[in-house]
Amino acid sequence: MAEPTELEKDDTAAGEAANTAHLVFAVIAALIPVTIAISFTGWEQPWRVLANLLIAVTQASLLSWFFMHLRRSDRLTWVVAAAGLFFTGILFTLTLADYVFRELSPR
Amino acid sequence: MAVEPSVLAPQAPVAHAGHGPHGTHAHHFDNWEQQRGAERLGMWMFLATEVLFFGGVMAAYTVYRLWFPVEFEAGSSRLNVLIAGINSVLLLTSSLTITLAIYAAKAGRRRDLRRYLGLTILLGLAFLGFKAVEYTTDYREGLIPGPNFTRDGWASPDLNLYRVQLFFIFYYVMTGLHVIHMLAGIGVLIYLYVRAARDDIAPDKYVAIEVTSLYWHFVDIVWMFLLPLLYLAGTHHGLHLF
Repeated sequence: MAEPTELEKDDTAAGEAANTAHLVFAVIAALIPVTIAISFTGWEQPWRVLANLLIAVTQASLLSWFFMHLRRSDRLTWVVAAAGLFFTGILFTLTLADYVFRELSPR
Repeated sequence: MAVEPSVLAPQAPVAHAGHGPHGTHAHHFDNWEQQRGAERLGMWMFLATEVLFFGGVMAAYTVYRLWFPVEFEAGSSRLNVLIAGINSVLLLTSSLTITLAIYAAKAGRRRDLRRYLGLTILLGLAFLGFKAVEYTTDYREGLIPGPNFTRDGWASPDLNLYRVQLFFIFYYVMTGLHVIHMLAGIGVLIYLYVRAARDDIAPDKYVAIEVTSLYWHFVDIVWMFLLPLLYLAGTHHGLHLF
């Protein structure tokens, strides 16, 4: 049987959760002008794209951890979320292993 | 022989729907917690397939960007980064309002629930409005792949325009798929708003808002990656709305 989440157990948790949500929102929102400002710098690639993607991963992690309640979710939900990322990792690894290195292979 | 009421205690598996304070959970669940857990998990499984769906497009984008970095960055520099930034803020704010809607639904604050759901819908529509403005200016600037894609407006005379057009195909496909997801989300949000307006979302049915919010946040996360991949690939020098 599924365990009730913390949110379900505790009514007062909703008030605290709303405060946390505002804080998380502020942090993610503050990163938006930062990532855009990076595109105005003359940084050489790949540093610009890596910095932009690092910020995107940070934003997405904060959003899923707090807004999507991953931190209060059960392990089965974590497995499903991790499975999505794991298979996306396979998708990218095997695709790029071909396209990036095919020019190097002897014919 | 009469069955004692205690035999049908709520925690025991029962063949018919169980009765909560505001309604009934489905007959194949033991209780509300189990039903809510299953509903959340169902959405997470759907989102795992959605990650792979967008992952496929982004993997294709990555391959072509690695092959044609100059042309992809040149195309990206022509996109409107100010509108993209405004849309990032709008979508993130809608993620906050839908989260607050869950808490309002759970606490039985019906006016707040309607207000937050309404705000989420308006923010989503505002996003689409800016996107429409952006597509219109893209069209006026001739950034549509096809026979009308000319050399006008491109600084470098030896830029391979076929490859630049490929970037724009990715741009329209990726943002277009995102817009379709936004439309689906707004449709569900309007349905929930109508239910909330009829006082049809009791506190123990707040998971309807939560499951929708999972999808809505996912759409926001996709945008968080579209911004750097499409809009910030090239360098920018100025901000303009039109």
